[in-house]
Amino acid sequence: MADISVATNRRPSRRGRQRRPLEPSPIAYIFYPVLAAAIILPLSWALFGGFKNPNELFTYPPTIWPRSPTLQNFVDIFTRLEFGRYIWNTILVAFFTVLLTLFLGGLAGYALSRWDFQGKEALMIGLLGLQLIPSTVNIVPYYMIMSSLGLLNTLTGLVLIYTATHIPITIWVLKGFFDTVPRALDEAAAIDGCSKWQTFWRVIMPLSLPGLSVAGFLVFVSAWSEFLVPLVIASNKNVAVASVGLFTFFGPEQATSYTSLFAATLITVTPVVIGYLFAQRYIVSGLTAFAEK
Amino acid sequence: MLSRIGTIAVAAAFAASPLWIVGQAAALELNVFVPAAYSPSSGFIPGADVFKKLYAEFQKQNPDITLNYEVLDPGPAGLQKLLTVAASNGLPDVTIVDGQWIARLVQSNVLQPLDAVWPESDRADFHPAVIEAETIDGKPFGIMFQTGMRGLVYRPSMLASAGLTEFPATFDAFMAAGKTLKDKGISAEMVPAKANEEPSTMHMLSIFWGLGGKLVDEKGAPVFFEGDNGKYLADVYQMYRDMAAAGVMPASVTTMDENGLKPFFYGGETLAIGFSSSGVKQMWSEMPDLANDLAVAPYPMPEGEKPVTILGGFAYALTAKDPERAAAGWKFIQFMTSPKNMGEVNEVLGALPVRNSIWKDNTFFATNPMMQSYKRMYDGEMQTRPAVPIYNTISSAISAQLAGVISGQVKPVDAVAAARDAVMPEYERQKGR
Amino acid sequence: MTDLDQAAVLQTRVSRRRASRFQINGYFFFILPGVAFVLALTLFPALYGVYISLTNLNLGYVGSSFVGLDNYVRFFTWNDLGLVARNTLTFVATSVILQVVIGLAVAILLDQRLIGHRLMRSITILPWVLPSVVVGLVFAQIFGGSRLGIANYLLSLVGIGQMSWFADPALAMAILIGVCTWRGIPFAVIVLLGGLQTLPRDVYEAAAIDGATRWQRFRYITLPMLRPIILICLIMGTGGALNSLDIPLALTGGGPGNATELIAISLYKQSFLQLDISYGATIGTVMLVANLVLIVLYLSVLKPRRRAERG
Repeated sequence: MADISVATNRRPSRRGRQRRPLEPSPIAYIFYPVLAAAIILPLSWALFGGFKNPNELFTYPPTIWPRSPTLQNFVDIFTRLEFGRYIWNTILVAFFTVLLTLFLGGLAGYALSRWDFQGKEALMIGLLGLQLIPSTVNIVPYYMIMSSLGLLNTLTGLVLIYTATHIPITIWVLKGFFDTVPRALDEAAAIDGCSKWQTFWRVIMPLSLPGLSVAGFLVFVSAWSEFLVPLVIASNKNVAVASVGLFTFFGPEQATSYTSLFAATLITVTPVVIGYLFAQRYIVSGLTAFAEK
Repeated sequence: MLSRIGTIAVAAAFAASPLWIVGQAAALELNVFVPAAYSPSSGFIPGADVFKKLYAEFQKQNPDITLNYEVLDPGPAGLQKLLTVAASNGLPDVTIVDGQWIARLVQSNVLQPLDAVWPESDRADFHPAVIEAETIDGKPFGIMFQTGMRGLVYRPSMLASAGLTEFPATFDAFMAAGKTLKDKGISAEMVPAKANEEPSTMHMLSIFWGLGGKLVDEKGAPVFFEGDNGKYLADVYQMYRDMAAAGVMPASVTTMDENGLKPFFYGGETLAIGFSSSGVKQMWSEMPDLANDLAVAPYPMPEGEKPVTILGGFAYALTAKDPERAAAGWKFIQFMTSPKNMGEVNEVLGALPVRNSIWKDNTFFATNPMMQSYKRMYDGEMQTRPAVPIYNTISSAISAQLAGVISGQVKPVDAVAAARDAVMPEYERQKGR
Repeated sequence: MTDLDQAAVLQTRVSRRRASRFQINGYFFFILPGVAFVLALTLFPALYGVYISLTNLNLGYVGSSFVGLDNYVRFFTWNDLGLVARNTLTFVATSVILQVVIGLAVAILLDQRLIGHRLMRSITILPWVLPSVVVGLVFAQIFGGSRLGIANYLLSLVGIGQMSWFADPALAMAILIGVCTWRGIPFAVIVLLGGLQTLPRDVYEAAAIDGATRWQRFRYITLPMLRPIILICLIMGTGGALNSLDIPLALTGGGPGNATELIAISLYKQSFLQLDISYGATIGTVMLVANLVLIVLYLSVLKPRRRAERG
């Protein structure tokens, strides 16, 4: 979700400055439908699959649009399969991850914005480097660590790992935001007798809601889609998150129909797609901010 | 973690209050470890409901016992957990274990024998292979409560349209029928043959055992490639190759798991698919017309031998050493494994019974034609997979060769040798522990 | 690499104020918890993984002992190492190049700012927003081998017979690459589009006056000026492809046989299907080294950019 993160160094954008000439070539219109079809067609088949009767998937010829649309699959995944529990687990994990990440990342980001010391750049680059260690590499140690902490198959374990892996980007995003908050505010707060903590908590954080919401959204979407970590350390049905539920409980060995899978898929992607549509504003300004560099 | 802290806090408050004396006199807390799927917190709602109902009933019948259950991982983490809590005196009183774990747990002194409490008469109600699977040194250590069976699932109506009245029992007859079907553009059989998937191996194992093959010797050393065993395994590979070469089975099965075969079956592209009994209820819901048109057949064998059905499932086991707790634990096990309750659970979960009386008395199992065809497999020979750590490696080494064999690129004997070469270094490594 | 890791790429701005010597003050305690958290669950596991790789830890057994480099000897003498390395290389190289090439084409298309380009951009970015496991599961269904699979149905409409998409090793690999590219293009588009928009107008104007054709302007102005951005795309894409596990697992699981087995799939299978945790950690350590190379490369591409930015 990099697109959104670049939004964070946003000053008001001055779009158009230094734009190179726009020589739109109408030939390009030919490619629009091709591109759109390549992206939308595969998805629409899955999307509409959620509204089909289970046996419609198994009759020839296959259909894209459901013959007799039904909502039964959606009822089924919540009443027979407790997909609601997986969604609820995902919400819980994503919510607490966002909360903890914003708090720890905000604290550090604020300090890094206000405090200049030798080695600061090295620290920030180092954090970025650590974030780039993929979870594929760390998955075995994660399993062992969570196992010895007794956090295997708990949502707590997931929140801890997600938080750690999302703090660096949050620090970068929020530091960028805090840099744009005038230092005069801190100084005024100090004159009023605020401690650093009070300044951060009472003055800076409330002012930083836009930055916090961008960072929070980023972390939320990422935590929502995470797959490998929960697959390995929280695969039990009780703590399964939606992505794992989709893979494991609709996969081989499981007595679940594909129409239910599609219905569940639709429900899983809906929050991120809606969030994404709302965040478009930031994406646009973000791209512009990036462009101005 | 929060809930654990909560429990401790409540326990502390409880201990500090004079009420605890009353509490202690009131009930014995029976701690039970169960996989989520076999507990009131099952993700499958009808399953959760039946366990909720049974637990409440047990509670009502035994007001002096308070039932506490904790969810146990059904995979290796569950086994690790039992071994770990045993070392720190944190064992529950009763646990559900995978049949494959029993030997390990007995070796580590985690399980208590049931010979003194479990009456012979009740044991006689189980399939002998079940008792054998849970018996170590002459003593039973668990009570299996269900099994899944793999076999060739087919539509009798389709069989009839191919001019057959019975599913061919010998491989030659099957191939002959397959060629007739092939001319109509229908494949006779599809078995899952995806590499590193346990079901791929399981479908092969029934035939391999039926021929007389053995995977490991008494000491647990892999012998599937030696002498006759190696020959039998090569025979099984050869059967797969023959079917693929004759067009009786499409070579693309090497990319499919059991669920991947369903569209071919539903769409009428194949007569039979290798499938698990646990998916049958789902089939009925996806294809309602299968409700009265579904049967299962054992795998056709070269000389008409009988294939051996794989037996496998979870079992209730007793871990409490203290006599009072053990007595309460046994009450719970007895309750959950009584013919009536076990039958109810089997029916709801779509699992097959391992008690003769359930097959006889439970209306669903006794009357449903599909279940009756499973009963015929149940009446034959059954066997569990060897409970040795090297089994995982053997299983995936055997299934990994299927793609090469079926496509004709690897000769069956070479596939056996390759599987051996994949297993033995790992076995040596494990033996060195 | 997750999307969020990729997001980190775009965060390249380090403000420069005069740095003072490090001295513990109140701010130190603001930074400490966050950094400690990160170290505990990124750096520590990575090092712990290296340690596990030197033992014979296996989930099928209790306890473990130190075995030195045994696991590494086993890894580098592994029969299938050649195959898996070749698969991984093919997969990573092809999908990254496709992502960048198609991504650049789409970015240029969107940069034309035709009517509806905003809507088009939203659509283009859509695959990136979807959980990757969903992408894998959906395409696995689309390429189902029976005649009920939608891809087979489309073929039958144009009179081509049924295909077993995942049964042929080359075709299975092609689908795997195609789907991962499909999912990876949006990231390349976002980064490259951002880059395109920074290119100064006057250079193009001068070129136009000199009579440069569209292609010449692309070849001699756009491409050279975009080079650092393209490089970032290539590095991040390589990391993403090398470590990707969810789509391959949901799509082919390494099959048929092990014809599409990638290094990440081997790691998963060894650790959690074979339960050989220490061997999985060994593969993980090898992958860690590859990732460190990429991280260093990436940071070194960023650095000159940052300098340029300040100057």
